[in-house]
Amino acid sequence: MPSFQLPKIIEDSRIDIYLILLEAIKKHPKIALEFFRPTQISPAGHAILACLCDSIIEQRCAVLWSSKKTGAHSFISLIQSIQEKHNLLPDPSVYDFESESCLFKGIKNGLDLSLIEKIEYKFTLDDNLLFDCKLILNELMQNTISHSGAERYFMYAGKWKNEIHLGVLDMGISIPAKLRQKYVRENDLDYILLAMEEGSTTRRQRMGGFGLYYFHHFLKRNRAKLTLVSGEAQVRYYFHTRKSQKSYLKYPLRGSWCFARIPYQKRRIT
Amino acid sequence: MFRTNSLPKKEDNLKIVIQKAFQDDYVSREAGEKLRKMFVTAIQNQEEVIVDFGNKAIASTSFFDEGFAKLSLEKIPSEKIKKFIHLKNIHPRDQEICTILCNKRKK
Repeated sequence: MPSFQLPKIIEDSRIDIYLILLEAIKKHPKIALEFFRPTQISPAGHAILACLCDSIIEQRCAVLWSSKKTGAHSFISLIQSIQEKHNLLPDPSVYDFESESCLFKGIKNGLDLSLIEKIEYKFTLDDNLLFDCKLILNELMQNTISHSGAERYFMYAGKWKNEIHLGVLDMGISIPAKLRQKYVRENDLDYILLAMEEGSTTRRQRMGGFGLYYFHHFLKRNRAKLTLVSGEAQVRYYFHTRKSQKSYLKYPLRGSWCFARIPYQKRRIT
Repeated sequence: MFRTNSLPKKEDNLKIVIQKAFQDDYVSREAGEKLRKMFVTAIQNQEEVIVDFGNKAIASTSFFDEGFAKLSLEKIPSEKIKKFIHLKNIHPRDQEICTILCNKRKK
């Protein structure tokens, strides 16, 4: 039985760990999962864990949890109890979680604006940053609904070490698979880059479309970092240095994970 | 392209309060399309429309593209659009997005 020790901080900086785990969940009928105590979970980490849990349930993989429920991070306890209780995928709202610095929501079948609307009251943000956060999440959500074919997705927003973290994760049709229906490119990396270009769309009935282009513009404006993981590739944009890292994944992701990080300022009091 | 915070000439005009008419969805392309169709019908009926955003941020390029920018594809002269559609209490950032998208669609 393969054994995996999850990192002390569960976040979006080392995606490969979770992709290896997803692969193992698919291949093995039983795995062992170990958590550090204490474990820190970034806002993105909640979404990653929810995707892992969904996969465990879907693949009917038995899990030996080696950390005890008492004293564990409350979200890990939640994940454990969800996995132990369900043989079929539960309603994604079972994963809903809120703490002082994090909003996390599992959403089924379409639009849900409740988390986005809560951001204003939850975090003290500069008015422009607040607007940009809402816009980024709106666009990510709509892209997931329109293109991923996933019945469910996970959305998060939160504060983590002087940054605002936002993102949407789904386990549906990957960005490359979707764009391949309409465009011809050499590899999955090229498809992810295409998704960020103005005018790219897979819509047939409704004329496109600015794809993720404008969302890209707002991240650039905020000197943010963006990570897109989908299919066999990953792209990390660092807008404050105008650099990007492009790589192929050893283990592909069936779905699309989009993580944004924005340096934040508290709302000015006038 | 659109008048903001101006009063229409006639009293019997169509008032669309975004928070009521688009309560559950004020961000999607579908919502934008629904709004655009309301505009087209009103203009065809020579009816002025006030769209009241209630100072609430929409923050959606999809909604403004579909609802406003694509009016240029409906073959309605921009003078008519300006005459019949009035925007009220729109968030300045939404106004900015709307303007950018309308200019993009015109090209």
